[in-house]
Amino acid sequence: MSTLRAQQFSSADIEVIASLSISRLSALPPDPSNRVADDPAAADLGRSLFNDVRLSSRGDISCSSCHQETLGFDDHALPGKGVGSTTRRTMPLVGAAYSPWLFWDGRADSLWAQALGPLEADGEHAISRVAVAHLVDRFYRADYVRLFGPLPPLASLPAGAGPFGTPVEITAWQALDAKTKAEINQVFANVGKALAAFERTLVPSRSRFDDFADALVAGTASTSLSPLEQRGLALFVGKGQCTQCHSGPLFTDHFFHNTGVPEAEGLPLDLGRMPAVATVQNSPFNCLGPYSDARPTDCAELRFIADNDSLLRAFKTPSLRNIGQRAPYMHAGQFADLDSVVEHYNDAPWAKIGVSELHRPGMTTEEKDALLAFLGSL
Amino acid sequence: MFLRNAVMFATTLLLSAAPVASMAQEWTVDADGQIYRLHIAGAEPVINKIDTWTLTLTDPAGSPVEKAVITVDGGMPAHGHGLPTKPAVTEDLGEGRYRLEGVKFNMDGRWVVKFEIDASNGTEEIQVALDL
Repeated sequence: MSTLRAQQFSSADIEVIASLSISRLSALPPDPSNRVADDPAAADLGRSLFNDVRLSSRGDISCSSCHQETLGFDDHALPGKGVGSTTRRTMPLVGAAYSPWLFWDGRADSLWAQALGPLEADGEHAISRVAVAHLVDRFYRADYVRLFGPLPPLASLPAGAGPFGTPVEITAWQALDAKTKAEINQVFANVGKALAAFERTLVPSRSRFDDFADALVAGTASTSLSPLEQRGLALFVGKGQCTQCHSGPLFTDHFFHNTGVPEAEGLPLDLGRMPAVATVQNSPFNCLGPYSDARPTDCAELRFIADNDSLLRAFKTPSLRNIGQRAPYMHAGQFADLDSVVEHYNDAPWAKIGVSELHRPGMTTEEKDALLAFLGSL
Repeated sequence: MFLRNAVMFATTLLLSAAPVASMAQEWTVDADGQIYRLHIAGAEPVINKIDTWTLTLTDPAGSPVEKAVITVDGGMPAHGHGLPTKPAVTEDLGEGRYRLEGVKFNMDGRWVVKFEIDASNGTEEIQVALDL
């Protein structure tokens, strides 16, 4: 390969590059739906709960089973595996607190509501909300009471009961009166709020790209990126059109797009955001629900949720930070490596379901190599 | 139907500016249809911030148009996707003024916001193009 000359960036390029630097990351947005969101004691309780394998039907799965801290809160599994199997990739947690919508399809509108989903999902923790309340009572009572007040009476309740789960658990849940259900839901929501307080402490760290971007803005020379990586950066903000969705310091617009990614083999049909809109609107754990600490005026994202046709098979734009360590890629791990991802975006195939937003950037082999090199710097 | 676009050009500086209070300066757009004139006032759009706009609707002579039903749609035509929210008029403020809540744009590029206006003078769609 010929030696690359120093990359020149236009002033417009530099503006976009500056907008991607972690130096431009705003303070964590408040979560008015969670009154303990920024309480260190809640984060401590959340960390304990996050790592507690007792919060699963078999006693061997915790949040950290799939969100492994040593692997960047990832498991690299295809798809994620808990008690059973899931249908999508484990999502990154670092920086998740910046997103108004959680999960690949955004079916939760807060970190705490998100945290409740895997607990009851049959392929993940597969534990019922009454069982969670019993565990809190037995192992975390003092910490819980300090943060949230007294637990409701639990002694007469069955070991497990919840609206999802086994037929026995569902039947037991249906037998409970409305007041008891509401009390259990409140405990369950509070567990989510403690987990969310912990997850809010997971914010991204500086990368080589950030050092380069800040030096570029300051007008000083930087060797933080190699000439090839700098060429890739120019493509990222230019011909590659990557920043149309991967924008801002977290390299995401926090929204949902159909990019024509193929179906994952062996997994059920996945329509993405479109069916999730009703799910989050109907969730008792949403921003407007009885377990939220927010005022209705704090819930603009939910009140004005988009539900148009372009959301068919649209999935959330993931952050690209640490993307080099996050194989396999896409919502169901359809692509084993970043080469395949870049190839997909360069090919921009038509979507089999819905309409892909991609336009062919027409990158050469050398350009794709440069873009790949740049992605490794994030 | 005759449509007229009001095109606002915001520079890419918007993308990099920190969301501080000084950004919330008065920002207006005027768009004229054949039977209605629409005036939009609010804070200058910033990516990923949900805003509230005040819409003022008049007839070509400048008289307020009251009791209008205004629905809002839009998106990025070049990308084939809609708005990231579904803005809605939440209050009729009287004298042809309406509060529109839930306005949000989540990426740079050209957005088109369509206002479907239904009032006593008839129905008309007015489109506003915004470059963020």
